[in-house]
Amino acid sequence: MKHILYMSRAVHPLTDEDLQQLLDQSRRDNARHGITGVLFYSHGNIAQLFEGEQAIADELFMRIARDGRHTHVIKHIDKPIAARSFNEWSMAFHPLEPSGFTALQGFVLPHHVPPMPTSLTIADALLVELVRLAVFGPDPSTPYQQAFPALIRS
Amino acid sequence: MPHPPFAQLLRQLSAGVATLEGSELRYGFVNEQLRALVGQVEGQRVADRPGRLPQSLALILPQVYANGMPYVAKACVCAPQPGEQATQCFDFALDPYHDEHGNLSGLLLLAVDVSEQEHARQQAHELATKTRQLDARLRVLTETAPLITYTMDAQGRYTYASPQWYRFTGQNPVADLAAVWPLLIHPDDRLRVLYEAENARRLGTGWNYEYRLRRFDGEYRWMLSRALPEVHPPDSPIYWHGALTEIHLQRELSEARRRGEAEVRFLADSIPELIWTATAEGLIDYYNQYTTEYSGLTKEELGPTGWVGLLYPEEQTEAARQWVRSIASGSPFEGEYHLRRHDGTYRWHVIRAQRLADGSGLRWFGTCTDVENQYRLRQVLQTQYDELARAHHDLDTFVYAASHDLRQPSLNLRGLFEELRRTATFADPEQDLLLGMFDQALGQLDTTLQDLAATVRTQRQQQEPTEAIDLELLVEEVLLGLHAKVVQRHAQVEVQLSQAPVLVYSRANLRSVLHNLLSNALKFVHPERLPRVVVRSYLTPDEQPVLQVQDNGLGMALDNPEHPIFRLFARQHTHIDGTGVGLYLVQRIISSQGGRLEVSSTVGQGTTFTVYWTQAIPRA
Repeated sequence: MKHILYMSRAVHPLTDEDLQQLLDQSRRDNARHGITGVLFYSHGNIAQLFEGEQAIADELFMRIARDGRHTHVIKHIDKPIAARSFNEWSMAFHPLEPSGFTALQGFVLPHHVPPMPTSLTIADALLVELVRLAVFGPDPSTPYQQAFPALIRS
Repeated sequence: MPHPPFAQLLRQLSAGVATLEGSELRYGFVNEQLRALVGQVEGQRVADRPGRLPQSLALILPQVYANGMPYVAKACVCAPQPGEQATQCFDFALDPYHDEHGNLSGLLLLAVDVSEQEHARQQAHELATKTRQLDARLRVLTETAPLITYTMDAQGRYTYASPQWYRFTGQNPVADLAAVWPLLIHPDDRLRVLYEAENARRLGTGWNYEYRLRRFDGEYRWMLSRALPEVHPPDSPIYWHGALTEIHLQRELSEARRRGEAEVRFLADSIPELIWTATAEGLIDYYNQYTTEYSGLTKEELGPTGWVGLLYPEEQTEAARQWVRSIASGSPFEGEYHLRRHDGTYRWHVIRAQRLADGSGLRWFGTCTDVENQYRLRQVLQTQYDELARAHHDLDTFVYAASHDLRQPSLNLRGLFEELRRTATFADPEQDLLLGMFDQALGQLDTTLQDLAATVRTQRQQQEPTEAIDLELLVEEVLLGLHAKVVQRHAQVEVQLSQAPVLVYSRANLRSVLHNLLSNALKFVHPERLPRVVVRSYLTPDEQPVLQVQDNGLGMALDNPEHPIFRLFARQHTHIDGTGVGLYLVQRIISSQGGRLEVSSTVGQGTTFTVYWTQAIPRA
């Protein structure tokens, strides 16, 4: 088993249909090949962490790297793991029309991404978190407290 | 009039033929092809029925007849055929013919359709014009662009160089390009360039290399030479066309940059400190040499976030969270963490990182400074200081007590002595002298004891002058000192001091009490929840000032005889750093001022310390 994390830029912004098609196709293919993980997409930024058998994961990354729909593919992690951290493959993005998506299998809204599984090392979880931040930017609904956060005057 | 016997032949001719008879030039024989031009006109005058013949031809006919000389008009434009769009072009030939007596009797009109030829000719003309324009444009472009263009033949001879070349090199326009060019290449680059160009020519490929070319002022400048072969398959190429761009500045810049970067790397690698840089997304892309030495891991093993794995397991989540927060907000990262060395021991480090803009955008620069020694020294010093303070205090107390306690016996002694003098008689001539000396000695003893007690008392008062203190300001000051801990642990500190905002106390002592209680509350935090500390100040019903510090931390077992809380060096939570002096000091300070410290605690839920600053005054 190994896992691979990469980031890239979409050549064209993906429409809701593109995203849905990508979701359907990838879920089908990944389920068949025993690939699990998560893909983040926002405003042309793509990041994906996936895990699977060595040969299959390598082959998948080769295919991804050659895919003409995105460029600037940078691999950030490629290393063996003892066990899976994800039990399925899913995608997180902001659809223009969220209503059509919420019921879809394998789709999550970016800020509803479940916390990283505990089997991930903190270093890897941090990496995923940073990548998610890089793709989606800080969540304005939970801004990070600044400077001297603790003193609440009564 | 009978037709000539070869009329049949003429009919089949692809050219149009007609005879124009007599001075009136009436149509005689007209074959099919010409009929397409003029229609059914036999016997009529040309002047009356010119059909589609060009007007100029019709006008010139009488003159030709009058001259009796052949006439040829090439590429005359005729109106289009009925129902067609395109005009037609004909070559017309007029030949006078004579009767058997040699008298001029008419003109033979021959019309050859040259529409296609004419069309082709026009196209060729247009093409030539266009080519000329393109050529002119290309010339303007090649001669004004800030680069030199050139052509080389298969033998490696330069056959063309744009004017820029002459301007750059300062060579005369009539100079022999093929001979001069190689001589202008820097001697160190010449062989390489000639070899590479020859290689490319032999393989029929293009080339792309850099070399120094001598400028008109004798200075060698770096040039980028790129060329591609002109290919007409299946022949091998015979020309290479290329461009020469001056890249001197870029090359020097990148050279300087490379040098600068190498110097910085060298510096970073030779400092015995962990140094790293990260991308704007917070992914570390450089660790210095010392980092790999310290951690015993390669740069690949460390990876973009591997540093977190070097921390104490309990510190990792917190550090990761803080790093994400810094990346999201751009605020500096700072914290004290244990960092694992290659041999497995953990050492205290201050980790700092800041976001800066370098030439290529935002980047993070970070350092980890080993403060283990300072940290230990600080701890040792603190312990020694606390012990000294205690010893000093104890000594004071002892002196005070001793002087106090010794006064009574000394007073007794004086009483006894007075009694003795009154009742007993001495048979000694120096009686008075001895008695006086004894009296004096007793007086001295008493004074000394009194002075001692007074000295200790005043010293204490001087050490601990009391004043009216604004609690809120002091709490804020103390919290600022603990800022790093508050931020690191995400502690929420609630301050409620409005009920008793001012306290008369020794500032140093109050500060010490607050610092110990608050830092304890922030130290013994529960691992499963964010620490929340409430600082409250109020008055008891009998106007006694009280301060309460309540936390939701680990809690203590108060009745555990093995871990008493107020004894010196007593420690409840041995897995957390500490000396066990804090609460002992607090207790001593408070009791020495006549107050008392109460504590209530539940293991796993939290602890509340209540400080009664003064002695309760019994109500009247």
